[in-house]
Amino acid sequence: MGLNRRNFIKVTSLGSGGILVSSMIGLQACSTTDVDTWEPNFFIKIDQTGAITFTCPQSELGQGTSTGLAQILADELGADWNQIKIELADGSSEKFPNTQGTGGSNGIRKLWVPLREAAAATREMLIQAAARKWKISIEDCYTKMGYVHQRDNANKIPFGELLTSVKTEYPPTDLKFKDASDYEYIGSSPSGPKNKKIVTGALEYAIDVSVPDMVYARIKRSPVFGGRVKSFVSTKAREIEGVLDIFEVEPVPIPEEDDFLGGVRSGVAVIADSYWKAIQASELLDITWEDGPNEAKNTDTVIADFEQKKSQVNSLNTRANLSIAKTISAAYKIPYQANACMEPLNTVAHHKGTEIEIWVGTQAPQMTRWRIAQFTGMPEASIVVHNKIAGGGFGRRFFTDFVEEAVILSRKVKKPVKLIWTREDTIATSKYHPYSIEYWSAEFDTRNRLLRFKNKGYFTRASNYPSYLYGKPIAFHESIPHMAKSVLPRASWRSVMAYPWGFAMESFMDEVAHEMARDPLELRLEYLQNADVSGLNRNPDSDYQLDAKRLRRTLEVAKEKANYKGTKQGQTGVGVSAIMYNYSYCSHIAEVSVENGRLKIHKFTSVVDCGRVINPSQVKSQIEGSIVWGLSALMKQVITVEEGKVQQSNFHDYEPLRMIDNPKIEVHIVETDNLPTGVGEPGVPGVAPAVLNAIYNITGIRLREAPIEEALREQLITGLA
Amino acid sequence: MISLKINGKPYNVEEDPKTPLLWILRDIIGLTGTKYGCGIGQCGACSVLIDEQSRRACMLPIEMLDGKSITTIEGLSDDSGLHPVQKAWIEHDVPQCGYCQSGQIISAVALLENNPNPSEAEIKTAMNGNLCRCGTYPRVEKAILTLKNDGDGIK
Ligand code: FES
Ligand code: FES
Repeated sequence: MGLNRRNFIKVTSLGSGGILVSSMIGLQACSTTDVDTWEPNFFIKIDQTGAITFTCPQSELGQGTSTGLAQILADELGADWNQIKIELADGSSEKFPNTQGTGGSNGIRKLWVPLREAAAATREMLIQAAARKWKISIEDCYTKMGYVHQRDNANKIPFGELLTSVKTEYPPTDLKFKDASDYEYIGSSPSGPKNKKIVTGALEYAIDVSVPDMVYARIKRSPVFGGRVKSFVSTKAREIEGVLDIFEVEPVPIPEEDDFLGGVRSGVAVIADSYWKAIQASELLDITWEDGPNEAKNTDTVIADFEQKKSQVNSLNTRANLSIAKTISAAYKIPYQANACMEPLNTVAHHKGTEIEIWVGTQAPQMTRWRIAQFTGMPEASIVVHNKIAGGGFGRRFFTDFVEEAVILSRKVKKPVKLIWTREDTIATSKYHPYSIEYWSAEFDTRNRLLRFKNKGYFTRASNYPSYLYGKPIAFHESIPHMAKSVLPRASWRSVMAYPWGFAMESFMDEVAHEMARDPLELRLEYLQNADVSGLNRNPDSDYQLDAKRLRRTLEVAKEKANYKGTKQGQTGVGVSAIMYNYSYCSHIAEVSVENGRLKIHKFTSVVDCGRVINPSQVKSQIEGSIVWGLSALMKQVITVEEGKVQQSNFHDYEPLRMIDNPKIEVHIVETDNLPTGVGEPGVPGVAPAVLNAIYNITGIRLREAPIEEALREQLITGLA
Repeated sequence: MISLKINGKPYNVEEDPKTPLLWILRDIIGLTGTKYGCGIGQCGACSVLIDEQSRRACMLPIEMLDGKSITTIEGLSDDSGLHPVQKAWIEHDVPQCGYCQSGQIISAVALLENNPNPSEAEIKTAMNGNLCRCGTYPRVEKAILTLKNDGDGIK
């Protein structure tokens, strides 16, 4: 991709791929008066010692994007890994248009080209400065390990010594990317700077931020979504020494047009000089609530009602011209679930009157800034959102509600406020992955051959969410809207829509295979071999195109690595799944057994193809984590509502998988030189179906609703009796 | 007033004696490496070492700790370098978000001090109280296995 010199010296308006234009402000370098550092663009800052600060526009939530992107930058620049520092960018639509939302496993994919452009331009300017100094041609220079080298002798000069002269250089009009064979960091697993901070307890999350004069806050929120404070008595709470203020927080409705934009529940805030006191005092509040429209609602009845309405809409329609001999159908259900990130939601906000400064671990620093501006009526330019590494995000930190709250509190008390949600708050008064139900059916001809699938679920058509790669005709009959604001508000979830979709599709594929008396793995291989998925590509001109063969290859490798010999081997049930998610491909083979009426998940063999691998250790750890995430969600995690109130409150009754139940996990990577794609989520959707299929194979019990732990136990007991 | 020794340094704490150690560490002393995860002893994010045991700081009112020595994650390493468990954690690229990891490391240190040769089952039991929402369990286990007396050690 060629670069236009003009782009560097003029900040032009930005198209959708505008990051390069925006980041390359060559004149910025010329006009800067700072002699100690050089900032050729918004990604890179080099100082006299040669230290290179990478300003990472993507959020770091543990998925490793910041490390992976830093590797890309270090390689293209010719930097020394040990001199790379990573800083998360403040929310800025000016500097990083359209590139700061972290979700959909898109970080590497979005920045693969623009980041290398920025690094390559920087590299060339350093080379020009060195060549001019040495009075040789730029062709005779290259960069490596933080130096510009001469090709034919040992002369070299560190980047840090070129800072003055490089500032008069212009970026070249044509850029060449490094050849993959010259990569030193891409494809290896250097330890990122964050690990050393983590193991010494030195990594500062938003919850650890401390600013002068800061006070602590907890809000006791309405236990019923849509309810509000009627009145409250705070006498007892005020007796706690260190309590500074107690006041009502007015609700802010979730915006109709976009429920990412937070909204605030009605509640009572306690401000204190330590968080412990704020919690204690908030528990001593005597609040009378007006529970509102949800007061009498229970999840059971709301869901039953929802299902009834949805299933009334005919079953799945039929087309007359097919000679259908047989139809099988199934419905798959996922309950309300809470993300429960390990770091509870929190924000430090300082409303200074005409400016607001915010420290928060968010997946959406840019949108947060925009929202707070809209919310307070202040210009975006007066709002600073410092994005901190977050203790997990999983979709929940894409929402701005907890930041809005902190800003409201700080505006009221005129001090910096650290608002922390208790664990109970994150489970009982949060936003949730919504209840979902997926209907599938399959039609067969007289010779028991599959004619087509039908699906009624959350997609209006296959191309809306192109993760169906089997190539068999599929009819999307009807899209079911999520029960978004009915009884609980909606949050995103690791792998978003692909989670219910994969759960259902990959379970149903297994049911189809059994119906056809075929091996479920072999049947998938056969369909994927012959699948034409070109019609599913959303943008035919995109560099990213779906490829059923790549999914097939992951399944083939899984078959080989797991030594797959059919779905039942002695006392072990074996289950398979294969899923594409945002251009990454992942297959799982799960092995389970049932001993003394108890399910044991022994092993996962998982294979991923995410194109060019940036950091294999991180790729594997993301798949490992996805399996743990998927198993937690499958086994026990459920949020239920009675009389409008969430019944779960902490990790004792909303329990993630623990180490004792963790299976052996073996992850393999199919490395290709396709463009790199993400790995934070593609491992998730196939976890549940692989286990469910394995359970079916060993017990004959077909479970179609999460969580399964209790239902399975009951069915096994009935079976034994 | 309650006297505590934290990472070798003496502190006299004048807060409400019912205050859990966690909040004294984080909000009063400013040692924020010890994390708040659940407040009810379920997650292990707040683990600290007391008498060579991994204890939950969110469940320990300071009045129970008068005169005790406490080691937090910040006290594991010193000028001579990282603790072997910390090194193994880096070596095996264990952390993801990292939020649970100070607790994981403290529990691993306690395990290995009391049982230098834990079996896989013993590791799982000892670490079962430390939740990790990112799912780093396979690597936690692997890192501890290499630290066993008869393990591979740290390369
Ligand atoms: S915060 Fe102490 S165990 Fe969870
Ligand atoms: S590393 Fe994120 S919770 Fe354990």
